[in-house]
Amino acid sequence: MVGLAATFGAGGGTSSYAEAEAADVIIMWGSNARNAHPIFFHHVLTAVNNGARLFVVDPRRSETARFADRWLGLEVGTDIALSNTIAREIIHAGLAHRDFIERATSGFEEYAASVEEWTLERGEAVTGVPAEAIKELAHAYAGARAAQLCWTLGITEHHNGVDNVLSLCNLALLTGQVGRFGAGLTPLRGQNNVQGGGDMGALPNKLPGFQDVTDDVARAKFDTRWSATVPPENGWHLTQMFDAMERGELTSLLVIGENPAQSEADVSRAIDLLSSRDHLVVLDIHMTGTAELADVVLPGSASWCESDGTVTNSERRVQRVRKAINPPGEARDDIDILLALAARLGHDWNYRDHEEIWDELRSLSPMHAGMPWWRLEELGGIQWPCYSEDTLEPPYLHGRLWAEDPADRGRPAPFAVVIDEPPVEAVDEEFPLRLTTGRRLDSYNTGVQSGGFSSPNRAGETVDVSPGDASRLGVADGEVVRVSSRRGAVEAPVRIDRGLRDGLVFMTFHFPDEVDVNQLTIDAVDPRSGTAEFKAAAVRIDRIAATTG
Amino acid sequence: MTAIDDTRPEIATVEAMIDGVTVRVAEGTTILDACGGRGCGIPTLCYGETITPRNACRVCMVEVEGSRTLVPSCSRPVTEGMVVTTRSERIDHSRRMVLEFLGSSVDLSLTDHVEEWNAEYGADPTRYGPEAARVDEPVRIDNDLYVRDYSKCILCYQCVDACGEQWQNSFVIDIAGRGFDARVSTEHDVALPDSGCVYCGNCIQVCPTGALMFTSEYDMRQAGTWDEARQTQVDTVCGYCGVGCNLRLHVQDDSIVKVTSPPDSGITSGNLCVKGRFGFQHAQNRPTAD
Amino acid sequence: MLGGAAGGFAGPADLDLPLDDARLREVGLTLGSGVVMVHDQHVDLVDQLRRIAAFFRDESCGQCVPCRVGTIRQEEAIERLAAGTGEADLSLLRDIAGAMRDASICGLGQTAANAIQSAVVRLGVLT
Repeated sequence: MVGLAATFGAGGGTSSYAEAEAADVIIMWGSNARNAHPIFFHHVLTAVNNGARLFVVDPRRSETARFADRWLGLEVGTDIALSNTIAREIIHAGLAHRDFIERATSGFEEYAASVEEWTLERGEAVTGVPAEAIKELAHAYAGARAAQLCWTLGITEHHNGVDNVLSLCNLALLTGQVGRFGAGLTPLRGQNNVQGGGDMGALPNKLPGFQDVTDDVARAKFDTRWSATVPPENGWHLTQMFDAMERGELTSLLVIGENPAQSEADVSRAIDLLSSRDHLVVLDIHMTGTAELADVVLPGSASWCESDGTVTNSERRVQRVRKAINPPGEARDDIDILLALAARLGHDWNYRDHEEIWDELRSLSPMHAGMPWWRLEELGGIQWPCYSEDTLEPPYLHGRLWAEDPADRGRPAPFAVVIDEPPVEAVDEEFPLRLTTGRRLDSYNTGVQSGGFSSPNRAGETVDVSPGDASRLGVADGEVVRVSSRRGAVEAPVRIDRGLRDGLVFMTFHFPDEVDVNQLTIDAVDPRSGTAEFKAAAVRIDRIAATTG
Repeated sequence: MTAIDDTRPEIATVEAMIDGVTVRVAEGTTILDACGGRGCGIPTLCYGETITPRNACRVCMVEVEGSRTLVPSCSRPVTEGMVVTTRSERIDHSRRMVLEFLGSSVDLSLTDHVEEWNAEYGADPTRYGPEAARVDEPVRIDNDLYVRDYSKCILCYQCVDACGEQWQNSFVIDIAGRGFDARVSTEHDVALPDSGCVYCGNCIQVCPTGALMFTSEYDMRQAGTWDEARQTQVDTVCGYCGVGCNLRLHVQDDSIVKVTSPPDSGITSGNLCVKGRFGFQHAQNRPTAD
Repeated sequence: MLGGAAGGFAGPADLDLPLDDARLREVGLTLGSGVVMVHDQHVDLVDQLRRIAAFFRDESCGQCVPCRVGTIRQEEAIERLAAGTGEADLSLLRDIAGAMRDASICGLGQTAANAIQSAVVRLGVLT
């Protein structure tokens, strides 16, 4: 979101899912949507079955890559190298969209100069992707009538995640593949309401409606409505909170629906810090690993079926969630809990119902103004921005960039000069294997929710290795081995995966109680997004027999 | 340089006559849709809202002037000047026979509308006698998520197509065997856990006869506790990934008993993944203080 | 029998018909594949009909209901008629024939009852 906001002024994917069906070229970059966003991938497959070309950029030949016309198996952490090489090829082949660049962007000259050294040969040498594959993708993307560039955590879970996103935005600006039907930039959000959470201001630098905390005019609106004084400085994101815990500055914590004791990179550190707070309160629906550390646990509601409200998905669509069952036992609606806390803290927030809260939000957030509950119900959900109750915006963003009249185009979208940087932790003799982490189809994040149903395909955690590495290490499929990094070690059975190249191993964090993979990962964070480099750690694998006795 | 190109090509229309009434519809509209779609009075079985039909059941047949045989209304597009009749002795006879053929060979007890159609067309599936060959397959329970009862299967192909190119692209099932011995099958008829099935449940949702059924529903029906009259349906959004699929929760006695997705959802078209389909269970397994 | 299993039986009254497809169609027969199978009074026509019914049931691909189920119902009815245990089966056979002819997807189902119906109607077999 940081990258998209910096480039276009709005922190959201530019296109609706239906537009993927209209694209003739689709690039899935750092996304295994077949497993992680299966129903979005249905829209991609509809396009593919209609003749669209699919390119998949991923170090692993993943389930998604199997559907691709071309799989580009780049080295972990070389996305900017690849993107800059693609850009240079597009420019040199005369395929850059000159008219769009001129009318809608800024900073092209500097950008073009910065990618000049990224010849196809250099790109191949750094990324490991054959030059002719890079060239094919470049030409296909630039020449497409409408192209979708989709990404997710493969791009953002790096120490330079924001730069990675900017490098993709650059490609869209270079080719005019944004701001019109079917062409766009689609970040696939990981959780059902991470988009909505950010839109509602659950970010340290944003007020609801994606308005800046530091924007005096915006803040004044909230001060007035809430009869309070909103602090004029940005707060801390999650990683900064952990740093503040380490400094002793953050002493008490309320955690709502997040499980950092199992989801954080370098998780031992996270557990130490959480355990040593003066007061830790956890609001959740299950006794997670984090809840186990808490002084007080507040049992909340599974809001998607036990509460009434809204959530926002990856195509910016706000949809109603509705209460179908009652929370069990003493669990209470999250909103009730928050109102009760507020009252104890001396603020009597009196809302008749949840709809009234939403109406207050609409009065303060222009991009949500036109979507009262009745209209969301009538239309089955509405994409933001929606400025009034009798208008709807196009399903894609940034159409202004194509406006005939320069006065209507708004701020030109800037190219960003981004520098290729390898992952923070290099592989070396002691830890010679690159560990990258991700997800599987049947499980979800730390496995708290998805562990509740029995899937025949769920086999527990494994360390996925290439056939070559298995042979070199002398390990067999199913054999339990020790995987260690500078930060910790875990044991897991081997699973041989032909989609992995030698030197690359893969694990998930779905089974932290059995195999706590985040003991291995590194908390190297992009300071702008606060996201850690889950995608690149250095590990070694040892046979258990070899290390005992 | 043009700006945003949102123009869609103009859609051509055709004029035809249906039951003596002139209609004008968009080119490519099927006869069934021209008559009002599913529920317009023409019976359908292998026609699903989200599946392009194989027109295999042959219950939706109508007469088209100039055609030697009857024509499947679910699949035949209306053409300029076409003359269609939707009820006649020949049509009614054919519908009655299809209902009798199916009713005498498989278990249609859970198929919607069959009772009323049998009455409307005078279909008597018992007229083939007790010795009439039936599809008698044992119920297959080889996983915890859903049950296959092929003695209810009418071979409408919707599950095959939902699993195949039309939606899921997993291609786990297809029709094996031929003639009366044809059955929906995994490769080499292996158990589901040994197949490529990803338990998305998209096949279950499109099955018109209950041959494919969620284990939660199956167990309750076996126990005699399944009661659709006491169920409500609540539409909400899945709690897992960021796609934001629409879920239709079927609730009985304050408990979610199964999950479908609205077929007209622009996001899902009635499809879900294993987490959306079956991942609700954790919400109901939270222990209360004791 | 003219035209093979999907064709029809011509009886003693039809012996002067020219082997001309248009003329044959006028009387409800067809040249079909060109086969002319001659039967004398010693041939068991009921058995022939059984074999024809079994052939179609076996050849049915199974895709559409009228043929997949119709061909086996036809075979069952002929067995009953042959064993002398089917009273209503002649009208049943006619009903099955009509559905297969009008509603099957392909020519196999559409012609599966031709020969049998022509034998019943023109020659009185099974009556």
